[in-house]
Amino acid sequence: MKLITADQTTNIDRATFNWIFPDRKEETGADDITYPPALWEKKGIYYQLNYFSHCADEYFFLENCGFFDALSFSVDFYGTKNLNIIELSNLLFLAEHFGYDISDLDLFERYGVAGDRKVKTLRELKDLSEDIKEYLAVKNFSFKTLNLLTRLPENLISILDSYLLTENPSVSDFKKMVTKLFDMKEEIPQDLATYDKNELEKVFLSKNITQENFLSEMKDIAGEMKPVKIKNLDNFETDILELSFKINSPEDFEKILNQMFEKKKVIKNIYRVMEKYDLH
Amino acid sequence: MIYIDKSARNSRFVDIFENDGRKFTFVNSMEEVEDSKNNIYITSGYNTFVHRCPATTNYRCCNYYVVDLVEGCPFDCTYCILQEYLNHNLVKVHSDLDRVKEEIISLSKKGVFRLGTGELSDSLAYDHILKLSDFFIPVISDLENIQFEFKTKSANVGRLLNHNSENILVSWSLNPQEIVTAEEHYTAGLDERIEAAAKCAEYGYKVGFHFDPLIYYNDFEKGYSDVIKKLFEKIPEQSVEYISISTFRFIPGLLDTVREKFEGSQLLKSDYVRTLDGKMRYFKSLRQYMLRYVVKRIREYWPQVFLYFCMEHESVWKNLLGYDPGERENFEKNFPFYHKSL
Repeated sequence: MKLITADQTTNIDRATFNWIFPDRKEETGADDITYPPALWEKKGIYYQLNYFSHCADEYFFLENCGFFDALSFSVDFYGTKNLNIIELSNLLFLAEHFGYDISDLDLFERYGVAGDRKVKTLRELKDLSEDIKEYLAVKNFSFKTLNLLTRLPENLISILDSYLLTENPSVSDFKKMVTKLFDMKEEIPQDLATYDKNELEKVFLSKNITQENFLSEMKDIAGEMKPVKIKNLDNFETDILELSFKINSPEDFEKILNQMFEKKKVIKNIYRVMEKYDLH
Repeated sequence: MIYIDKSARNSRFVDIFENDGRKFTFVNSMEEVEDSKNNIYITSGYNTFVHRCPATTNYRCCNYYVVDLVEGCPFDCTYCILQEYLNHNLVKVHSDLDRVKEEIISLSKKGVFRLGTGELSDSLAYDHILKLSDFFIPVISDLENIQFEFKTKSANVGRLLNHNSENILVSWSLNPQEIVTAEEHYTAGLDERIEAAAKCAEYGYKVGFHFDPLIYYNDFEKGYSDVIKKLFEKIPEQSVEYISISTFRFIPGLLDTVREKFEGSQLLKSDYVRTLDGKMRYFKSLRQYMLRYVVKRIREYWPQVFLYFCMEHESVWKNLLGYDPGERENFEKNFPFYHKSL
């Protein structure tokens, strides 16, 4: 590595190696620079490996250095422990841009990226919208979910995009949404490209309308028994109901028993509904 | 392509392939064979071939026995559990037929049993190549206590029409043609299966049908009604030994495989619930609707044929058929073969 001045390098590419996502704070202020940025040269082009938004007077030049050494320098500079999935995707893109196979780089394996399917998924994350990428970068999703996401058609990706903005979903809800969109993609109108809760629920409901209708009726009736909770623990494979309540005195107990006695018709109604749905 | 492990070089299969002029390659191990459904790998590895069908708790099991001589299937059904159960795609065939024969004879000495090869493979898909019917049928012909079932989604029955049909049952899994097309890849079409069943029935075989798995879809009622009507038109009731009916069920990981391999599958258009044995099934309400519908349609044509549910809850039996068949040994006593053998 040697120190060179800016006037020795006329052709500096600051964008290609910028794999960081989203841009980090230190990239915005020149004052944050402790050392001169590093450069790596290939075919007469000098690629800046760090401090990507900075033009400096001096640079460290990595002499006699291969692509993987340059990439390692860049990644090591920012730390390899907490790369997010979009950064990995960017690094993959970078390697492939220069014609290299990432199987030669153990960094990806450390992040569980092994096998053609995962590499393909990682490659396709690159084309997602910035909003989705930002969400994925800060959350932690399995490759299984990412794989489904990248296989969604364009209009469903747009729906997902507007879903993020509208609902700011939890990881669990986002994952459910991706799976439902994937499973029902043929049933969702192709001209639907923004998140329409009612329209989507209508489609998703068709997956199990019988169960949904039953549970909805049950919820209404069972609510009448409060504070006694009524549950079936086996998804109604059997007609056994479990009733539970909390007490902290004999008086409480007596009070609840009286309430239950007064509301015994609720239990009859529950079994009537179960019978209607062929569950008793 | 056919590959034969060198340890199986003296097996009967080598003679069969040589006589038929089929090309094959000797290999040192399975690792040398590309793991493709198009490949057959013959091996001499030890196995317990005959065993009771693995049942799960809380759902009624018919005490069926299976012969796991072949592991893997050239067909590629969306819902197939082998995708999760086997760690290979190729069709692995065990060559130790003498041991298989011993195990079947040994089983026959213990009582009356129904036995079949359709658990880990399709019984007839490769019968023109492996000629296993030529092995099994003569063995079974000498055993009064065993009813042997070839269970298939093929129309590959040619070799069966040269044998003694005593105690042999040939059965077909059936689904509407639109389900066959979408979910049962590389199998014979519905009409071909029914034609093959008619041929076997005419020859003198008892035939069976498995409406398993029933798959719910928009045209469920019309789809299954049409299948049953076609059956009735082609197959005489007295040839039908039994009909099983059961809805799609699976271990939870299967749907991920379906999403990976068969996107757009009808299986992804429904939700399922975890049931008492840990498997996923349609919500019981829908399940009973499907089963009731198919039972009713069959009964319109064939009032006497023995119907049973595979792995269903006792309450479903009581609701739809009016009785609980009980656990394994009690359940099997309901089968026609058991009555004949007493």
